[in-house]
This record gives sequence, structure tokens and C-alpha cells, in this order.
Amino acid sequence: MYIKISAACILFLVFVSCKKVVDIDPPKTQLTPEKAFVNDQSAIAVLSNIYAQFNSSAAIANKITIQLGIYVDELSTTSADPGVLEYYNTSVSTSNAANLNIWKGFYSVVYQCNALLDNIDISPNLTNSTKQQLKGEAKFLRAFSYFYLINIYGDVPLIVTTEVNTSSSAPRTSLVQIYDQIILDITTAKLDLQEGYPSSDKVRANKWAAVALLARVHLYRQNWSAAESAATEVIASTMYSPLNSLNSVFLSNSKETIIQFWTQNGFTVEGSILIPSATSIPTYPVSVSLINSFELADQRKTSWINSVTQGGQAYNFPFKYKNRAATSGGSGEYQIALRLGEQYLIRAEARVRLNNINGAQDDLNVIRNRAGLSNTSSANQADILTAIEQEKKIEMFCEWGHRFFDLKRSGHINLVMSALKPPWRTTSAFLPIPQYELLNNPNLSQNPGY
Amino acid sequence: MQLKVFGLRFSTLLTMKLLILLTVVACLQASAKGFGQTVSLSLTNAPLEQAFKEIKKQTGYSFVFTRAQLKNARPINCQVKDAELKDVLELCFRNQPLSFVVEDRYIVVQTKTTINESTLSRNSLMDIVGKVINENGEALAGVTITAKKTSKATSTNERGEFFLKEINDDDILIITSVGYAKEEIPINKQSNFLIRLRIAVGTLDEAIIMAYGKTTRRLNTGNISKITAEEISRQPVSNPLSTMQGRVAGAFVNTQNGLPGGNITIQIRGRGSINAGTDPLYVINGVPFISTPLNETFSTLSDGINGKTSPLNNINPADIESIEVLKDADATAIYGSRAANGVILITTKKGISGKTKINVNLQSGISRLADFPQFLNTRQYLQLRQEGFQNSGVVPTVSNAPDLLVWDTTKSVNWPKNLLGGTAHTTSILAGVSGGNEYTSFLISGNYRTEGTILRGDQQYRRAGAHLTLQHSSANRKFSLDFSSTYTSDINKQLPTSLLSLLRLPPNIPMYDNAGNYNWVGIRDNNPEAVLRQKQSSQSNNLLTNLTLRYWILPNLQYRTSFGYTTIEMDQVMTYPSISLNPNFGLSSYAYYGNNRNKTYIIEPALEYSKKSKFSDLKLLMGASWQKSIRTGNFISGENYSNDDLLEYVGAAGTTYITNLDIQYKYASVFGRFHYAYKEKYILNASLRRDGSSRFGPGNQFGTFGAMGVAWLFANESFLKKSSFFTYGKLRASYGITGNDLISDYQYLSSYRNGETYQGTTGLTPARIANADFAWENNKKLEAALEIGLWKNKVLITTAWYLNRSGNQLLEYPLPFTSGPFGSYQANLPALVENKGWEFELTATAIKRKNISLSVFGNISISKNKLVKYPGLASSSFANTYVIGKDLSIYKALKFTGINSQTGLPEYEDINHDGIISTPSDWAVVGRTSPFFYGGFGSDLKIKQFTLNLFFQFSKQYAPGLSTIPGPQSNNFIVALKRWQKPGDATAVPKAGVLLSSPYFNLSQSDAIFYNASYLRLKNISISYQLSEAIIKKINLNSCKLYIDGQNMITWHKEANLYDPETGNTGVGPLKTIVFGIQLTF
Repeated sequence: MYIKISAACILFLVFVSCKKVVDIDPPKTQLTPEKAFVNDQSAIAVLSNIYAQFNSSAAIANKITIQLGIYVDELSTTSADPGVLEYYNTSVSTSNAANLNIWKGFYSVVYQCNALLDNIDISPNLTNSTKQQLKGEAKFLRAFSYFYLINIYGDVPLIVTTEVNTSSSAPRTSLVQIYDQIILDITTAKLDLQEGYPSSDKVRANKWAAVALLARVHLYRQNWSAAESAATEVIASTMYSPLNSLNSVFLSNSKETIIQFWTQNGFTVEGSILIPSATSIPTYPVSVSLINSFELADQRKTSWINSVTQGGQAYNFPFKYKNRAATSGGSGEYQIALRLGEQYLIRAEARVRLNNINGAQDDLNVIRNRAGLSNTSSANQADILTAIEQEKKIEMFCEWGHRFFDLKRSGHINLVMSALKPPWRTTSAFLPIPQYELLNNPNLSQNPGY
Repeated sequence: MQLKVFGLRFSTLLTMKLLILLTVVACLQASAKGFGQTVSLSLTNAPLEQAFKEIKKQTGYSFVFTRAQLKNARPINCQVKDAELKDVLELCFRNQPLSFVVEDRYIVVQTKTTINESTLSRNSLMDIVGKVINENGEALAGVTITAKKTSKATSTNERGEFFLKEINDDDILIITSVGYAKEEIPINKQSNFLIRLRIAVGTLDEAIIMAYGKTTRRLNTGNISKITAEEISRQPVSNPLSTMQGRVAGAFVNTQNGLPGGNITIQIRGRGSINAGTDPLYVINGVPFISTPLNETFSTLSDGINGKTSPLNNINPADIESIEVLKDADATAIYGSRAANGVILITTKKGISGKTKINVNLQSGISRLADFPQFLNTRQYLQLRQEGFQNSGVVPTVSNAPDLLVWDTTKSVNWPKNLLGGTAHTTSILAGVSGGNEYTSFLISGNYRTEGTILRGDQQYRRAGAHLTLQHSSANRKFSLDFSSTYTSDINKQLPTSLLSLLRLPPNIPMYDNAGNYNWVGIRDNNPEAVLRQKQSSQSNNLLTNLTLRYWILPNLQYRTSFGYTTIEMDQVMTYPSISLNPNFGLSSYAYYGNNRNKTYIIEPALEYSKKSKFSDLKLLMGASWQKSIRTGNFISGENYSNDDLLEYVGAAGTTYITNLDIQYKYASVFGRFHYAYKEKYILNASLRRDGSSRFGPGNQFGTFGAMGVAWLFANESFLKKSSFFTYGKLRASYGITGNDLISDYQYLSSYRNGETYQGTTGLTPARIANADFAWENNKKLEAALEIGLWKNKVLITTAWYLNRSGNQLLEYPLPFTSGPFGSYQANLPALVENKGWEFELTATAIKRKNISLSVFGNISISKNKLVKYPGLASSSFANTYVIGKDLSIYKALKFTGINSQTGLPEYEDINHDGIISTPSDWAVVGRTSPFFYGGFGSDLKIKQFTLNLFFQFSKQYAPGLSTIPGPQSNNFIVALKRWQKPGDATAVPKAGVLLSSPYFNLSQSDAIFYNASYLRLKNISISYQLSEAIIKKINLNSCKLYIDGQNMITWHKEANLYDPETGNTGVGPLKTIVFGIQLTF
């Protein structure tokens, strides 16, 4: 029996000494970074996930369009949701969920781009061309995200690392520094990326996506000649012209698309929210002031806006995207991020500022003529600037917050908004930093007015 | 019916299969009763022992004797046929120097005193032999027998036999065994004893299950509270955790949701962790039970109206023999790294050998929601809305005020009553068979329970289960096995969408439009009528099995191995047909399917040595434990169905999104315990455990934990021994270190997982921010307690004080989203959290007479939590959440200073004096959400066949609630009637408004909605009537009881703006239930 006792004791000792007893395999559902970047296909899957943020569950695109649309004078709302009404009444609370989701969505893209740039060199198996292409796309997406973050929130923390101690306590970085980073990222991306698309559709960035974004950034920074030359590069590539007819602009792979985000079933989240079902009223009807801004002959008013009558009342709703659910047939829609129409307007504005009146008129007329309108009658610098602002309001309505940003750039925002919405204050030009972020990063400060 | 008992010394039967046992049980039903049995003997000049063998064979009666006694026995001649047993025995013992006594199924052989007299005259010392059995005639091993005068002691062997040498013939034997009432037997010159011990009930000597063993309240050095099967049985609830509420000092039990399957949380002695789990470790029959809700794995999308579902709901309370709550270091440290939050041991019922018994319990009753929130009626609501438009200078239009302009302003619906006002019917049936013999006992029971719903629609909960236990020991008592298995299957049909947010719908909102379709105007999320089209069905299966094999290598050295296997699985389907969805969200039909499975294997070998001598009692335990848990699951979200009738079938989905789960968890430990008691006065207990857990990264997996407990039973000291007032007194103290590993798995591993689909292929997304360096959280527990018993222990008072300090805090450190979409990562912090408190328990037997007894009992726990230190708190992400020196559950909010009597707007204190009110910079600590004190009290009254049990439960606490901003298109609590209406009004409710600005929004971030959620509940009332013996005999029953049980009968609380003080505004409150039942034993 003492044998049994000693056997038992030995058994215990085995337990003490053998640390393997608690070793476990990595979960079958996950990959180590080495394995995630083991080959081109897998590395591309890492990148694809970043693109998917814009129209999948995070659905950043529609949140920008809709929330900023109701915030300014593009959309009104029939919703009783206090979170929505906070936007509509331009008194967004620091704990507003949509506001946090916008912030979180863009920073999630930033994080994933940073992680890709950190990890991509781990693997020796990736081809150099893929590596270069992926780096370029990650930098493009990072720049794209920061562009929106600073235009919505002002100074934000500039994070270009995945190092958690840095990223979790970063204070706000000045706008100038962030713009420098954006321009650095885009110009590097421009070199990394090819002219042709790396994918079968226009759903991943090529060189022209980077240049088109660069044109916009230069315009916002009032580098007029740089903006003009970048826009010219895109227009002159001839890959995107002539402009589509109005009803086919927002289709997948439309001619004027520079980059768009892929959708699984041929409809965008935005379309599913903005277009009402047969029995319901639109949650976000087009505002009266926007409807009234269209010139009489403007075909965009009928092509890009639709209306429905429910309970005896007519509602107008945005109809750029026409699918609210999966469609069969060839008219699938992808979520457009950059298109040639905007490049004409960028160049027009840059040219006016550079005193190239004729050039500006020409670009403006390209947009006007496509909408069935005659050439612009504006002839001096001030008039053309106003005409461009008006044209952009119509051409780019309910697209990625253009209206909000342009109102801010032109300095007209306080005038326009305080007339429309009494709670508007000058500090409303920036949305509040989400309270969640303030709670979890003690070095972060709130925007004035919140 | 008398069950046969096999021989004490002669049986060679080693094992017995259940099937045979059942057959035997069935056959033996026919056996003759009592002492009237007949015997046939044909013996010529045979030894007496042979006669004993024959008689035993024929009757099953066992003989108790020693061979020494038979030395002088004469051979016998006996020829009888079908003679009465008693006559045969008299024949055999005629002219023998021996006599006999028949007791139950034993025939005790005694040496005739005449023989002894000669020896006595020379020497008053004698040798004593005996056997100790329990009420069922089973031998009891390890029973201590002490001679009172000389303090000579011994203990029984595995056959229950003992031998004491040279004892005074007028001494008294004291027989003690854990869990049995103490017996004192005068020797009276007898040399041969059959001693029957009775199970101690409700006293200091009642058995208490402890970690890897048993103890009693008297001898325990740690803090263990017990809930008995009887207390459990009186409460008509489906989750065993509900039965603990208010009954255990130091355990704060909180219902999260009162609907079937709703989660119930337990926090033992406060929150020691900043944000690692604070659930106790659950151990069912020795096997750790994963208590994490199975539907917690995936997104919150898989929560239905009943929230997270507690896996403990799969344990039928009626199968439970006892629940023990282990609190201090001494009691818990042997569970090492998982013991920081306390341990809850659940022991299921076992079979009782003896006559085969059939037990049937039938009950049926109804449940309703106890309290309904009070909202404005249509007239009051519309008046408020009009006022709001007026105050804000906004003209009501069809789109911004359909309640004023479109809907029927004469219609008024009380939504709480409409949606939650149903009556649920509950029925439960339990039937069991138990029995066995000296070597083997069994219990087989089955149960079925069905609960209706208080909601509208055909929601219901059904549960069926089976429970089987088997105990067996070999004839020589060297080997024994203990097997138990419980299988439970339940199906819970509820709504997949919470209705709580719909309670505040405008009272005149129509559910249908003029065309008869669902109305979606003015509805933010869900139309309650449409929600009824949605379905949620969760089916769980749970198998708990464990087997313990024991072998006595030496009479006092036992080797045992326990094997456990637990599997719990849950299949969920949640369907959302498009007709039920708000078309404004642009959603088409969708459905969720979740499958989760959790398997746990555990092996625990152990060696236990015990040695009793004159004054001391030594017990040593050494063991090891190896556990592996595998959790797998998938969550599927489906879209694009061609027909909504196919929503429950995942194959019909045009598009599916699948998330998989694969988690392994391994756990290995060695542990030891040393227990030494001296003269039943001084007790020392020490335990040590070395643990390894796979939840930690390489290099941090192992940790060592341990504790020491001491007790001084001062009432046993000579200065108090004679006191009839102080009959029990114990001072005990313990100190030790335990750990906490309640964190997610794989947090040390940097990895990518499946992400979103893009261009038809699935993307890869970073799974987490990995940290390879985190390690155990250490929880140091100190406890001191005084236990006293007065007036023959009619009054028992326990006072315990504890101080627990958790350091090396293991937490999910919250991160801003600038660090990625994760929100947190796993890390250690040098923060220190302290919990200290007092616990008082009192039990008093006020009256105890033959026909009437009354006892009262109660407990109260006062706890205080404090963040002692946190280096760098100000620059951490917790800077706005915690304050050093304050409770972890502090509630930070704006300080509401009242309504400006001129403007009618809410005002707040400008804490940082910067002239503007902003959050979080103007937040102040306005209170805490952890309870200040809680407990329960009750009484048990018995008058003849009637019993009346009452139990009250209380808690003093605060909780945040819903805001009461008057104006938006949603109903308000009746407090809104007191709103500001004109300059000069002094009130706490702001003026109505429809264009809300930050003073309004800030209301929900202020202490204006931090409510007093203290309450007192008549938790349980139970009345029963036991039919008298006479009637029972007549109808051929063993016992029959009729009863009425009521749960959550009355709640007293102050705050009308909370739906329920316990669940606040976040879950359906506990239901009020009344059942009628009958319990029969055949």
C-alpha cells in the first residue's frame, strides 16, 4: 500500500512540475499576426476589412451623410428619437450615441490602418508589389479618416501607432499638424498606388483616389494652385469622364466614380434608411430650404429627389441611391466616396481664387449642363464663388457632409444656421468630443460650448 | 415493508448494479413485516455462530458480537420449522452465557452480567466493543468514541466497529461524528454496544459541506453559511439562486430580470475587483460550474426580453440538498485562484437506504408583476405636451405632434398594464423513488415545470429533468463509490425585444393606422403589437455528472478520485419578421441563431489521513485537480428570406453572417490542508494551493494561495463548562490569500479574427490589444468572528467582522476609441480595493414544546467598499470614474440644485466654477450604488400539524433611474404633474418643453434621477398542513402535506419612478407568485 501512496505523491509532483497541463492551443477561430500576413490573399483580407467599415456594420458613410445632413439645412426629420432630435436641434449632447459611433468608426479605421502598417513587414512571403499597394491604400484610408475627424471635431488626437499607452492618453493635436500628416500620407500613397484599380471594381483605392483626396485637402487648406493641379490631374486622366447621366451616377462602377465602397447586395445602408418603404413616411425628408434651392429646370430635383404621400402629406426624400433593399438585375449600387463631379467643383473654386474666371466658369458649366441647366451667368469673382457654393450645395447634397464643411469654409455657417435653428451657437461649428472619450482619456479636452 | 439488510461480517457481495438493486427492491416489497418473521433450523451440535449465519440468511437480521464472546458459547441442537424468529432466538440462547437484544434489524449479543460479576469484583476495568450505525442501519466510519472520565478515545473503522480497552465500567461513552447529534451512553457494565446516531438538524452539529469535506458549525474554523433543502423547498422559484436572497449574511443576491430564465447575480462581501468578474465560484457536487450566461458570448443582440439567462436556472431547486456559501479565507483558500469572490457549493440530494419510498410533490399557482409604474393618463399627457410646445414657441404640426393633432385624444392606454399585466400560470411536478440497503442506496427523481407568461402572447417556460444518485460500498467497507447525475432540459419562449422601453409610449398612440396596418408614426423603435410577431426560443440542455471512488488504504488513510463531467448547451432562435419591424429603419426580415456548448472535465485525486487520539484530532488532506473546459459556439445572423414562415430555419436565409467561438480553458492545481483540534477547544486549520490557469500568458500562469484559521471553543473551558447560560462559545479568526481569474480567455494573445465581408470575401480584423504580462489578482482576506450559544443553545448569535483587500487588480482597462475599436484591454494595476464589514446572524428558539414551536432568525450585513490606493488615477482612464478613499460603485453626476423658480429650467452646481455647466468636469460624487446594508429575517411557527413560515428581505441602496424630462413625445411618471408652470412655482420638475437644450439633457446626468431604491420585501410566506398519522395510516401513506407558498408577496419602497427597487428601470421586476401544493410520500 505504500507503493500506492508514493504513486499518488508522484502524481502530485507531476502536476506541480509540468506546466504543460495548463497550456492551450490558440483558438481555431483566430490567427496570429504572422499567420494573418502569411500571403498576399490573407493580407488583402486584412485591408478589405478596413474598407468594409464604411458600409457594413459600422456604416460610417451613412452616419456622416445623415447626421450632418439633419444637423445643417439639408434634411429634416420625422423621428422622435432624442438622439436624432439633438442633431436636428443642433444641440448634440456629449453622450449622443451617433456622435460616438462616428468618432469610433473613423478611429477604428485609423487603428486598423496603423496595425496593418505595423504588421505588414512581419511576413517574408508577401510580394513587394502587394506590400507597396497595401501600404498605399492604408495611408489613403488613414488620411481620408483624419480629414473627416478634423472637419467634424476640430483638433483631435493624431494617432499613427498601435502602441496602447500612447494612443490611450494622446492629447489633441493641432489642425495644422494633422493636415501635414494627411498630406504626407496621401502623397506617399500616391507614389505607392497604381493608376489601375487593384480590384475588379472601383472599390479599392488607386492613385487617382489619392490625388482626388489631395485636391480636396489642398482646397480646404486654401492651397489654390495645388488644389487646381491635383484636380486637373484627376480630370485629365480621362478615366472618369464624361460625367454620367444623372440616374446612373450612383450605380456601382459608374464612370465618374473615383472610389466607392462595395456593398454585398447592391444597396447601400444609406439607401435603406433614406428611402421609405411603401407604407412608411421618410424618417429624414429633404428640408424645405434645400428643395427651394433648386433652380427651376434643374433635373437633379427630379432625378435625385423623390417624393411620397402618406396620410395626405407629401414628403421629399433623397433619391441619389435608389435601392433600399437587395435588387435583382444589373443596377447594383455601391457607396460612393469620391467622384469626378466634386473634382470639377474643387477646380472651379481653386480657379476663381486664382482669378481664372473662364476656367472656373467652364468647370461649373460641366456640372450645370449635366443637370440640364444653362451656363452660369456669374462673371465676377465674388459672384462665381457664390455660384459655386450654391452649385455644390445642390450637386453634393446629402453626400458625406459636404454642405456642413462648405458652410464652415465659406464662413456663412453662423448666418445660415442661426436663422434656421435658434439653438445654433458659433461653437456649434464643431461637434462635441464624445463623453466616452473624455472619460477614458484624461488628457483630452472638450470643444468650447459643450 | 421491511427492506433486507445483508450481513455485517459475512456478506461477500462487493458490487451491485443498479438494475439488480431495483429488482431486489421490487422483490423485497413482499417480505414479511417486523419481528413476526419465521425461521427453520436443523442443527445438531453446531457452533452458535452457524446458527447466527442461518438466521441471517433466512431473515436478513444481522448479529452484533465479538468472537471473544462466543468463546464460552455452547454448541446447540435445534430442530424447528417455520418458527417465529423470537422463539428460535430464545431457543438458541437458552443455557448460554449470553443474552440478546433485538434492535431494528440487528440482534445484539450481550454477555450475561452474571459472568461479569466475578471479574468486576476484582477489577472495575473492562474492554468495550461496539458498532455505530446511522438511522438507516448503515455502518458509520470515523465516529469518535470517548470515555468521559478517562478521555480515552478511539474511532470506528470502515465497518463502523470500535474497540476501547480498559474502561471503567461506570464511565460514560461520548459518541460524536460530523453531522450527527452527539450521544452520551452510560456503560453500565455492558461490554457490547450497538449505537445508532441521528442526523443533527438545525443545531450546531448539523453537517455543513465544506471544500473537499464536511464540518459542523461547532467545529468549523471558517465562515460558511448554509441553506437547507427545506428552506429551498418553500420557495416557488425556478432558479436556486433566488432562494438565497436575504438568507445568507454577506451574500448580496440581486435579480436582474424577473422573467423566466432571468439572470441573478450574487456578490459575496462586496466588490473586490475594479472590473474583473465578481461572481463567486460555483461548485456543484465537487465540479466547478460555469455560471456565465451562455447567451453572453455574442453581441447584446442575442438578449431577449428576459436579458441574460442564468445557467443556474438549469438546476432544479428541488434536487438540491443544500447550498453552502463559503466566505472567508479559511473556507475558500483551498479553491485558490478562483476563491476571491467566495464559493458557492451546491450539493444535490442523495438516496436514503431503508424502506423504498416514493415521494411526489405537485404544485400549481399563478404569478403576476408585483408593481406597475404610474404614468400620466392621456388628458394629463396631452396637457403637458401642449404646454411644452407653448413654452418652446413651436407650433405643433402633424409631423412633430401626431399625439396632439392626429391621434384619438380620448383614448388612454395604460401601457405597463397592457404589456406586462398578464397572469402567468405555474405548475410543477416532482416524483422520486429512493431506497437501498446497508451497502447501496439510490435516488431517482424526475421533475417537470411549466411557467406561463405575464406578457401578451404565448410565451412560456418549460423544464424537465431527471436526477439519479447511487452510493455503494463494498462489504468490507474499504471501497466505496458515489455517483450522481442530473440532466435538465428546458425551453424558454420569450420575446426577443425588450418591452420596457415601450412602457413610456404616449397613452393615446394607436397601434394600427386607419387601413388596419401597424402604426409607425410617432414610434421610435418598436410597435408593441408588432413585437408580438417576433419570437425567441432558447433551449438548454444541461448534464451534470460526477463519480467519486474511495479506497481506504489504511483504516485512517483514504485515497479518492473524483471525476466530473458537465455539459451545458443552449440553442437560441430569434426571429424578426419584417412586418414586426419599424419600416423607418429600412430593415427586411432577419433572424438570429445561436448555438453554444460548454463542456467541463475535471479529475481530482486526493489522499486524506485522519488520526484521533485521546485529546487530539488530526486531519491531513493532499490533492490535485485538473480541469479542462471547452466552449464552442456559433452565432448566425440571417437575412433575405423568401418567406417569413421560414425564419426559424437558418437554411432559408439568403444571406448569413456567422461568428464562431472556440475557447479552451485549462486549470491545474495541487492543494493540501492541515487540520488539528486539541480537546475540542483549540482548532487550527491551514490550507495551501498552487494553481495554474490558461487564462494567463506564458510565465504568469501559476500562483500560490493559502490560508490559516484558528478557533477557540471557550465555552468548553472549565470556567464556563458548568454554565447553563453560556452553552456554546467560539472565537475564530482566519487570514489568507485567494485569487481571481474571472477574465476573458486568450487576452495575452495578439491575433486577427474574421471581420466584415468585402468583395465577397471575409476580411480579417484585429481581435484585441494583447498584453502578455498580466497576472493574478490577489485578494487578502481577514476575518474574526464570535459565535455564542445561550440557554442550551436556544439562542445562537454569530458576529463576524471581515476585511478583504484586493491588490494587483486584474482588469479590463478601459480605453478610448483612439486606441482602436476594442474599448478596453486586459491589464494589472497596482490599485488596492478594500471591503470591510460586519455580519450578524441570530437564531432563537422561542418556544419548543410538543405541539407548538416557534423560532425566529435574522441576519444583517453592513458593508463598506473603498478604493484604498490607485497610483496615477488622475491620469488614467478611470480618472472620472473612481475616487481614492471612496466606494467603487460611486455615482458621479451633476448636482441638481433645483428648478429656477423664474425660468422653470433645471440648475446645477458649477463644481469647477468656470461659469458653465459641463460634463464630466462638473460631476461630483452624489452617492453609491452598492448597498449600505441588507439582510433578512423571518420566523418558523409550528402548531400541531400546521406550520407557518415568514421571511422578509431588505436592502438599503440607491440606484439611477430614468429621466423625467417633461415634453418629448413619450409618457412621463406622474411626478411630472408637479412640473414648473409659472414663475414662482417651487418644484423639482422642470417646465415642459419640446426644444430641449442642455439644462434638460443634463437632468439625466444629474443626481435628480439618483433614487432611493431601498426596500423591504415579504419575500416568502409559506403555510402548510401535515395530515395526522391516523389519517395517513388509513389511506396507506407515509406522509402527506398540503401547502401554500407565496413569493415576493409585498414590497415596501419609496421611489415611484423606479419600476422595481431591485431591477430599477432595466429589467422586469421579480414576479409575485402564489402556489398551492401537495406533497405525498408512499
